[in-house]
Amino acid sequence: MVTSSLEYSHTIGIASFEGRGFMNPIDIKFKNDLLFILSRSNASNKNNRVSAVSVQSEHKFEFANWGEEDGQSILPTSIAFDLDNNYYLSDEHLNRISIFDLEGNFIEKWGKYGHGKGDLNRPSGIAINSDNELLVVDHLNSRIQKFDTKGNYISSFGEFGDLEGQFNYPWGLAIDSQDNIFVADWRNNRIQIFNKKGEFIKIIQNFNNENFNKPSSVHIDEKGDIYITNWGDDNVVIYDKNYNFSHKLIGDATLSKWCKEFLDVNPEQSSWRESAGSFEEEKRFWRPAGIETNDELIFITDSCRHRVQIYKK
Amino acid sequence: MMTTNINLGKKNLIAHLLRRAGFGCSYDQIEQFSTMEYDEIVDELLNPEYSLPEDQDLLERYFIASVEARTARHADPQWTWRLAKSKKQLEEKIALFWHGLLAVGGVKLDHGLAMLEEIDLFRKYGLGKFNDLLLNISKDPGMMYWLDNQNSHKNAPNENYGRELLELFSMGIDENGEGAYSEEDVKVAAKAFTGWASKPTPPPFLLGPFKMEFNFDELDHDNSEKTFLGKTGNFNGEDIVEMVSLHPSTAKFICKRLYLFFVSEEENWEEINILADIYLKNEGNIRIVLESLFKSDHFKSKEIIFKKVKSPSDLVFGISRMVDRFQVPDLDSAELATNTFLMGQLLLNPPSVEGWHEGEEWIDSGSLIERINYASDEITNLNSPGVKRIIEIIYSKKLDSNEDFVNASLEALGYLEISDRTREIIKEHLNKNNNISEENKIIDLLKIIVSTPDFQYC
Repeated sequence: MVTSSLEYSHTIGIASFEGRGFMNPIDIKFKNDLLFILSRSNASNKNNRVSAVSVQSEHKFEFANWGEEDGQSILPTSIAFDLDNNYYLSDEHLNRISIFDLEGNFIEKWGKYGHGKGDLNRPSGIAINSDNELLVVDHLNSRIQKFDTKGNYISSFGEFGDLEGQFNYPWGLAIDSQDNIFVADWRNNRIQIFNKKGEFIKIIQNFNNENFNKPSSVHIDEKGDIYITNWGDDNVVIYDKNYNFSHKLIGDATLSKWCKEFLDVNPEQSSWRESAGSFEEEKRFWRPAGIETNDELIFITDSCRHRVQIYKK
Repeated sequence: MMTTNINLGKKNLIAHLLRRAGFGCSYDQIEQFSTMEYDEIVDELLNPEYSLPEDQDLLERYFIASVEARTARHADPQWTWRLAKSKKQLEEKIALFWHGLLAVGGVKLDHGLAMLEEIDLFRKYGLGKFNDLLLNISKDPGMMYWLDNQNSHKNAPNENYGRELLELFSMGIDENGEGAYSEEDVKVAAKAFTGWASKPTPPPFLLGPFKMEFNFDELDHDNSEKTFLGKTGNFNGEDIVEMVSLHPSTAKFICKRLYLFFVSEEENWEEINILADIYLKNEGNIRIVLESLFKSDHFKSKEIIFKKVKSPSDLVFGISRMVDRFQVPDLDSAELATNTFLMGQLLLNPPSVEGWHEGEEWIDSGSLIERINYASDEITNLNSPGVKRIIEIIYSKKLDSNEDFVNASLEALGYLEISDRTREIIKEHLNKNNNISEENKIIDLLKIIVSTPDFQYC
């Protein structure tokens, strides 16, 4: 069996339709010592939200709950911070970008459905470059669009297909310190890398004799190491800055603080869990979706297990 | 004996077949099928290659909660998408049939993953031999839980599964509550299934649900000699399934249910007995039974066509297909089960182990309003590519009179038929509204057609 070779730290989270806990978390960002975790939820429960949580599992506040009004969201997909510490959220259903301050207060929104320049058709991954410009994976339009922070269109690149520079339902997006753009070209089972101008540089599509299966997101840390959530095969793949494969993680979760507290006050649930004895299965990723790092830790949203698994770098 | 409708055009017959063996289709799809012979279409429908749908990955991406569906409601986006879009229509229709006969309800099981696995089981085995299907559903962990078999032990058998297996899943009972089996047979069947259960799974409240799995506990199984349906041996659940699957009572019961679902709400025992004979001669092969059913003159007769009340699923997914409503999964496609629910059919949650009562019972004043409103909204939604196409098709026809206009519209809607009385009322309405613009006139007519009582039948 493949095992994780990075040191596991701990897990945050519990399945929760509201308040403390997450519901299908699919993206994550670390800012000002807080983790901002985006819960996708589902069409019927309508419990999507962004939760601000400390690395030590303290639930601080939440925002961007279900709805079409200002400051709300329906099918949120990705989050990003700009250079002014404002918080951006893409919404695939509303075809818009909403902007909040660090406390989750709504500032403004922009974006509209369409296929022309600056229009959006299911915006998914978003990221900010060193010029404080927002890049958006406009995924049903098979392109990456660049906007200023007010939503003014700057440029775009990409089209549908499977050749270099073409996309098939792209999802996540990351930008490195050189402003190179890494796109999780989801249905093409690969990561494509472009320079700041959108010119093709490179494709990553396998690791350690394995091919990617629907990679959902990519993250580049301050050293240039590359982290990829290999969504379709329930693992996470890490390369160094020179594209040398270094690790494959399959999940090592232990019970989170919140889960332990739940079981402490619900002993019948605890014995139910004990009798099932699915402890190995409990550890593994199930559709890891978003990934983030800080100086010391790697944070992975384990979307179908409603938690964030944390590893040491 | 019914007579074949010899005046019915080939395209009308194809449309009829696709409404019954599936959920119907668009004018253009009927045109495409019309290059094939009727019997060839039946053969194609009956032999779908089992596979995941091409857009399964999109469903999982957009509705991530349906991947770990904790409840039946979380599972909705997965099945409704296939009901609305799958090209293998009979694969979904037969799954719906078995879902109503070998019924497991989300209200108790409340495990969306297990419900989806059951639907998939119906896709895999639903057109094969009934013995295989019944054995697999008897080993289905959701079914075992639903009918309390985890509480059936060697020293204290629970009769629930054994009873429903005989009464509702295979041999059936007559109007007097009598079956071709005895109360003792029920008790023996229960003993034969002791030790069959689902493995315990962790509680879903922490990390979401875990997949349910079947478990056979030999230590908890009654290995004693048993007498069942007059035969004696050390029977286990597999033996019971084999004995009931090929019993003449089962042949009649299953063929009656197939007839009521695919042909008519009125039992025709002459036709049902023909199907039951085919069932027995072919070891309970459902595909061969349905082939005979769909190719029969009886199925193609005037007495059958447009005489069956559409189930909520027939109506909702039929319109979705008629107007080509969905290109990629979205919130509306995810909520299709809510639409059928408002008309009285909550998918993945049949009201009881007896499934749904079909026919006229689908319609009451409340559900009728839902049906008409839903159909009217969909047929006037110009964002649906199929609605634009229907208008285009009507424009392309020679329209010298309101009679032509009505006929062209019925054809464009997939070769629909209406009664003479309805036709006169519609023409009267058109005569009074001759001054409205052409496109509005078409939309108005389409809306009227889908609001007629005739549209409630397939």
